[in-house]
Amino acid sequence: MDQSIQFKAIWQAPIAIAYLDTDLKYIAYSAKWLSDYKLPQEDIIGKSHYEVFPEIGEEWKQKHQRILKYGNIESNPAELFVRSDGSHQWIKWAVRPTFNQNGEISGLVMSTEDITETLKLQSKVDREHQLLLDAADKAKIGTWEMNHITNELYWSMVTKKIHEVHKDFVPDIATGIDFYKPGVNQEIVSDLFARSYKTGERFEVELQIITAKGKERWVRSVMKAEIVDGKCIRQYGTFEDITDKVVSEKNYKLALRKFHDVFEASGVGMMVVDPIDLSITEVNPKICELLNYHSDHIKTSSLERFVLKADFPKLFNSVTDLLNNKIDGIELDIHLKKSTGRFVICSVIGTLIDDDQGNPIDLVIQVIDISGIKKKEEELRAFTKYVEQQNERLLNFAHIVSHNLRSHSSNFEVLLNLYHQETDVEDQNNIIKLLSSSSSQLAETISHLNDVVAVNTKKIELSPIYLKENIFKVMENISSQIKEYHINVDVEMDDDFTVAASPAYLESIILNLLTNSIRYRKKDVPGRITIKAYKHKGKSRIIFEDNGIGIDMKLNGHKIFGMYKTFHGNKDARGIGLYMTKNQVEAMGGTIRVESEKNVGTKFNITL
Amino acid sequence: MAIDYTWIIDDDDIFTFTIKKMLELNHLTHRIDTFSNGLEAKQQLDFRKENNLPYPNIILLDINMPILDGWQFMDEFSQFADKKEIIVYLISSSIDPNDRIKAKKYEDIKDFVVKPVTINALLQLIAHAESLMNIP
Repeated sequence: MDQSIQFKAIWQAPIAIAYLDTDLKYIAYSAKWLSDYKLPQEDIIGKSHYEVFPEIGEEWKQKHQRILKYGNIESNPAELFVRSDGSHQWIKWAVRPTFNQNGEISGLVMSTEDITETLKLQSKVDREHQLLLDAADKAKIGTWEMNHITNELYWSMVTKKIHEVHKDFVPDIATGIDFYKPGVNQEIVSDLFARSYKTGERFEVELQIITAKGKERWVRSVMKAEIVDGKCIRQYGTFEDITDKVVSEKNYKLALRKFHDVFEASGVGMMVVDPIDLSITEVNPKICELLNYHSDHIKTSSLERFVLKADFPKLFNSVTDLLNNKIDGIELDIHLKKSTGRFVICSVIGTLIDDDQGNPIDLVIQVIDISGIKKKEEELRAFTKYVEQQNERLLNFAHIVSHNLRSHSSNFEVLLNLYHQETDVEDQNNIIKLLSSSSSQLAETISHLNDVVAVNTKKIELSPIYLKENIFKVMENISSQIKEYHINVDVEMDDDFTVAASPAYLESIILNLLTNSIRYRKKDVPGRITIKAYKHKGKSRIIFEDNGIGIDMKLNGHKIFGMYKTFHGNKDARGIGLYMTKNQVEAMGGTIRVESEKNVGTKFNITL
Repeated sequence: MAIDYTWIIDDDDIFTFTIKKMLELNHLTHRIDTFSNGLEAKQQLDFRKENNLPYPNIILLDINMPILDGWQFMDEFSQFADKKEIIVYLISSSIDPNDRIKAKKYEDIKDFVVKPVTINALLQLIAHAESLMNIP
């Protein structure tokens, strides 16, 4: 071999290498030798190693001699050298003998590697690894490592804690897998462990273990493998107890499913609304049924769209109060609009759902159609009012009876007393006359009261009656009066206008109102009575209007329909007509109102 | 014991007749006038004031009457300047408790008498009136 080529190859070697003869003088060296040992760029060939490195001690000199003598190899993977300038170097070194063609020792070859930087790096890595492990410990994440060279399984303290084993417990691969819950859990972990061993793939899996104390726990196991030259030398990974998380997740899912089930199947209309912009995010079938819309038509539109305009401010204010924690929940009765355009009165209950931080995320609104209840309430109220009115009428009637009958009976009593005291025959006859007139008045009163009782107790059958025809019939009966007082009666309605009424009552009402108007006509102008009728909101409205002397409403308005109330001192006024009229109208479920002005006329409005 | 001048305001002719008769037979008053409603009585009061004529000492007033009833008459009467000179008794066959309660609200109504008015009741009423008038 050409020595110069050989030397050139040595000069360019990537490691620090030097060839020395038996006298330890340099034969060849690499450029790296010079740079690693910070030697001056001068030729050192032929120079003694001990001349170049004067600090080399006796110990090394003996070592060199031993190698030259016995041909053994000395090496150290890492040794600290303190240089003459005081700097430290970690050196990985090896010193071997060289042999000549005859097999005799011809010198030494030294190879060294400055591993100071590598070691520094290594220690940094170790430190970081330790930090990582510490962090893992703190995070309750355990680690494990299966060394396939030593066949040892290592568990970190946290891993041991999760398994609930003693800190001195020594795991092996079989017991490690046995801790997994028998069945699928063990199968999965065995399979993944084998696959990772074969391919080096990384796996992450959540499985159940049974601890040494027999407790079931959920763990997340991560495994990695290190493969060198196609052979797995170690497997390692992390091990984390996720029981709490899994349980709370499970509970959350369960709660969510339960809520969803309730939401879907509820007989109460429900919707989930964004509390900020009031857009509807979820609806259940019941609310769709209630509003008569497909869910797609309700979702994403604003709640405002379905609320009666007049009701919206109070809903909006409630939501604002709820968001500001002024109230715990919303409870309102509002009108919601159906697809048909009709409004239903609903009881609305709203609850705010917060996230973990207490920020409102959803407004859950329950909607109950209470129109049925409201209607029943209305009916009940109407019925109560009816009963109250009946009661009042009954009481009123009792007072009328007592008043009228008592005044007659007291007259009898006093007259009889006077009769006994009276000595004069003519005066006695006078008293007898008064007694007989009192008696006939009593009979008349009783007959009136009887009529009133009849009206208030008889069950009324309503049948459709041609109103115009009936008015003319009554007018025929009193045609003599109409003619005598020159009364002009206008009947303004269609011939076929019908009203649901009791024939006898309707006739009595018409008769009373007509004779009333005639009786209280103005003497100086021609009497005029106008009768109109029309339908209003499914009911019949009948109006009697005259140009008579009228009634001072301020003075007598409250007495018009009272029994035995007369206002004009008219001799043939008996104060029973309007009382009966009102009773008859009310008995048929109608109402009667009066408008009047003194010297202008009177107008009666009847609704049936 | 006798009242000088008595008014009866009632539309019941038989009642006015009987009271009048009892007052006369028992010499309880020197003079009686009757009115069949409140308006007539009110007009007579005004007429007497204008002409400086004597007022009645007592008025026996019915409640239920046409035109101006007893209450309406009292509403007018309460405005009458010389009302202090006249004692008003309400006389009614009404047993409606509301009428009694309402009567209490009129300070010008001195008492409420329920029909029938017997001679004893009438004697008591006159005695009451005389004590108010300080007639021995």
